[in-house]
Amino acid sequence: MASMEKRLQKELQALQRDPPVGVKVDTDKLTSNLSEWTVNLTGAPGTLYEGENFVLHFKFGSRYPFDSPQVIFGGANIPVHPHVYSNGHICLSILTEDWSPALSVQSVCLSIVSMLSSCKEKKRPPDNAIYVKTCSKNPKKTRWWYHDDQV
Amino acid sequence: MSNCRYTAVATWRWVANDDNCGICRMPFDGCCPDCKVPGDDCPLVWGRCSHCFHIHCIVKWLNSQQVHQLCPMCRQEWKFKE
Amino acid sequence: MLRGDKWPSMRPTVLKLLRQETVSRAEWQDLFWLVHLQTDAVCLWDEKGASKVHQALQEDILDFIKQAQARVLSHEEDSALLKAYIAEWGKFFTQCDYLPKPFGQLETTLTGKAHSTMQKKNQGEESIVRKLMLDSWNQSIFNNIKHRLQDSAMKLLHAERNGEAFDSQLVIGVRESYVNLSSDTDDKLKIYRENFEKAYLEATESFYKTKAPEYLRLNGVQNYMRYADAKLKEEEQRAMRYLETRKGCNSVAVLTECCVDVLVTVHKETILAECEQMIKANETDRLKLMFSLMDRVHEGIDPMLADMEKHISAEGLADMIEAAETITTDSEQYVDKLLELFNSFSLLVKEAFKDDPRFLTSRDKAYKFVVNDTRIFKLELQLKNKNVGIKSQPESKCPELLANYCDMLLRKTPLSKRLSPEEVEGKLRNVLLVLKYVTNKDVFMRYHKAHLTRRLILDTSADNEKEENMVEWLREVGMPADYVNKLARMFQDIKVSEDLNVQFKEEHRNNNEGLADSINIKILNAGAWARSSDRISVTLPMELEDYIPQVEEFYRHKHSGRKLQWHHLMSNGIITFNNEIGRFDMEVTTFQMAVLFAWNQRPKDRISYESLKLATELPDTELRRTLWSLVAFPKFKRQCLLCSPEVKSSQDRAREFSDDTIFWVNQEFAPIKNGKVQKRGKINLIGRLQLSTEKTKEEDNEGIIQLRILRVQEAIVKIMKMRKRITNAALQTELVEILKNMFLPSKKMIKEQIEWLIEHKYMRRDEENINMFIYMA
Repeated sequence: MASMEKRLQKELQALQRDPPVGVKVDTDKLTSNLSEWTVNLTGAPGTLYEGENFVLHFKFGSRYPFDSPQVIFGGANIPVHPHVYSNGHICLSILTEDWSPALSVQSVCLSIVSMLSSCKEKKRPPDNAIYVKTCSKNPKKTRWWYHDDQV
Repeated sequence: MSNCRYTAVATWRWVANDDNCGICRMPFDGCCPDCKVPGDDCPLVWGRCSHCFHIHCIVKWLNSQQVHQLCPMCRQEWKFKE
Repeated sequence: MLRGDKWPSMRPTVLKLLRQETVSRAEWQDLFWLVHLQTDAVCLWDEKGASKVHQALQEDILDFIKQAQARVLSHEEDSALLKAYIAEWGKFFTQCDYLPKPFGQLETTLTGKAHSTMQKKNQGEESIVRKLMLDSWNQSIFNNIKHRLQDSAMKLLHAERNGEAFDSQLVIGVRESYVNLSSDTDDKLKIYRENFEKAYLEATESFYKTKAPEYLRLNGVQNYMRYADAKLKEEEQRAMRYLETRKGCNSVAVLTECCVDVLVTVHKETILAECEQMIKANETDRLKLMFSLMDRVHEGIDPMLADMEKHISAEGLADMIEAAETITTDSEQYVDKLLELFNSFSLLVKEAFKDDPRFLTSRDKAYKFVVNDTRIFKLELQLKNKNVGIKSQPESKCPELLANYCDMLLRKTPLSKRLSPEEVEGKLRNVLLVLKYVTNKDVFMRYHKAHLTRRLILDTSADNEKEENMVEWLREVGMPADYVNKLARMFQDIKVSEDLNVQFKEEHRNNNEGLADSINIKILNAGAWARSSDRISVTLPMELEDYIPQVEEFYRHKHSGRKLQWHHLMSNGIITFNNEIGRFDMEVTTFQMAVLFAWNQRPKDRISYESLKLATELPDTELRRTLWSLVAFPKFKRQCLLCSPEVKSSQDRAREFSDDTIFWVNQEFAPIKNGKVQKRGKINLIGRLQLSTEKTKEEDNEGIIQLRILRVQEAIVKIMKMRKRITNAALQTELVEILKNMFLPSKKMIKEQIEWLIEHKYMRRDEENINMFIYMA
């Protein structure tokens, strides 16, 4: 088994054994070598996204965890958020420059949940229209200018 | 009665601040995913920040970093502990 | 006659040719010329010219054949008739090659110009004139007398089968006429097959239909097999002579099949009924014969395979049970016995069945049964009622005994000393051979590793090179890589420890009052060596207590980030024991050392159990066990320690010690050699080094089961992941295949683990088919 697969197997076991609130792996949609995952997120109570359901798609390359996974929102409901484009791309530094192999599916999900939770106003990023038209399909190819380090 | 020879047998284990390697998530008592037997051939290393990893895992990570070499756990600059 | 009709001029030559009379060169060339003219004339004047010639030719040919037939039928007697026919046919057939030649041109015209290219290619073989000749022969003479011909030929054949000699050319000649007669270009052998071959097969079958049962009845199965075998060979030879053997003709095979049917298949049951007895009596020659006969029959050898399996299982078990008394206590004899059986069964398969793979498979199956049988002795692997709820199934003790035997060969023992290195290697290879048939190899692995641990810790290997060879051989026979790697790792640790010792001694040469020299450290990798890690407290002799922190310090310095755990169970030493008789070097375990040191300052004192407990700090079970080894060491006439009240029963041995039991050093203690008391000497009190406490021994056996459960789970998940959907039956098969080098999982264990995995959402049952599983990740 490739080391990427071994590690993802461990993560999957841990996530199933002890799933964090609002995060659920859709095991029916896992691919055989675990290189693609679908995770269901639920907006945290007391936030603007309370009760909303979102779908995150993970794609892992063979160098994972040394390379970050590709993570985008999918499905019908893309959260309206200043760091989330309408095509599902997420502007989050740990997914590119600030990635560390100590991060995991779980920590990425929790970061995204907390990014949503801290939102004060539901709106798209200011450059949404132009970005969505011009961007690559893979958000990791985007050279992000991080909107706001506070969030 | 007196002693003339004694064979003392001990086993060794890694002393680490965690059970698993933060990079590959394998237990320190085992080895990294690329090795077969734990022990001298798949040693652990410590950073000055006191975080510890399989040497194969941390070296792989550091080699993939072009600009800064940071500890995956605490993001401080990685320096091997002497 | 039409203008340009040259037939009248051609005819005399044609007739001469038919009768095989001499035709001069001029006449022969004229015929070509005439045919040529005829052709031209036809083209120019008469469309029907050519077929007219054809018709005229046919008349003459038929006329000639009629005469030939009359000549043949003038003979009454079979051989004469055949001879005459063959002669006539021979002549005619030769002419079939000559006569068509001059008419080549004419034929081109007859068949039309469109086919001219094809004509050229097939000229001769498929010429119209030739066809005309052959067909005429076939329709007139042949159809009229073929039955007589066949009958005569078969009569001769019958006579030959009954031992009469005759001119085989007659039958061959008839066959050749049949073969050559066909003018059908698609199926040249049609006439031959439908007549000659058919008659030949029928004659053969009917001959043996009467002969074979008669022979069997009169001479019995043994002789009959020889008869059938001889006849099969004979008939095959005969068929090669009399039947057509050209490429693409399967006559001989068809005949052989027919003979097999009538000689063997029909009597299959009668012959096979003797098989069991023959195997029992080891009648290899007769079995060889039976095998060669039955192998020709569809599913013929299946009953033989079953008989052999039955024999090996029964014989093997009976032999083992008969020798039970010696082999259950002596692993060497046990392995020897198993090998002896294996060799005798293998010899049987070799001599009787030429090592036929099917018989080898049967041998393996039956031998496996013998090896893994639990009737003679069994190993109970208990698992206490935990959540897993697996109850033990008795298992063969074979793997344990094999491991013990390996130990005897690899350790310094009287056996290993007696044998040459080649003999040791041969015997180790034998063990591996038997091991191949053991279903639960994990038990072997467990015991083998324990023995290796002892040899490496106590330094009792007979030959280090052989030790390491053995590891590679285990790899070669397919033992799991992670297991073999760990064994290899153990040797590496010992080497690393030797270097560490040297370094440690260098550093500590000048302090410790020379203690460093008498101390030997073995620092091992926890992952490769010990599975259980019970920490037992014990009071060590003072010098040792001081010394341990120094080793720890030294090691910490060498390898930062590692911590040591001491294993007093495995540690051991040599102490000097003084009493009134003499001075002895005794090899002891750490616990024995701790107990004996209680008398260090007070050699003559009597010490109660309770006080010893305080002094040694050993847990109750371990103290009892240790004391028992000192008051009742097997084979010692005089024991090291004495106690009061004396403990007699060896049944419940150490339990009988009470807190008040008193122990003292036996001042009379001494080894006795040849009836003489020795005053000096080295005495080994360790026996088999205990690697675990009484308590963990149970856990060890449980460990085997726990590990099996884990392996079954892993393997199921692995299969499910790969297959996504799989039927219960297929899953079981794949599972056994994956685990075959470790153990054979019981049906019950598999079922329970599947349930567990379903419960924990690793997999689920198909809603429509409960025997179908689906992977859930």
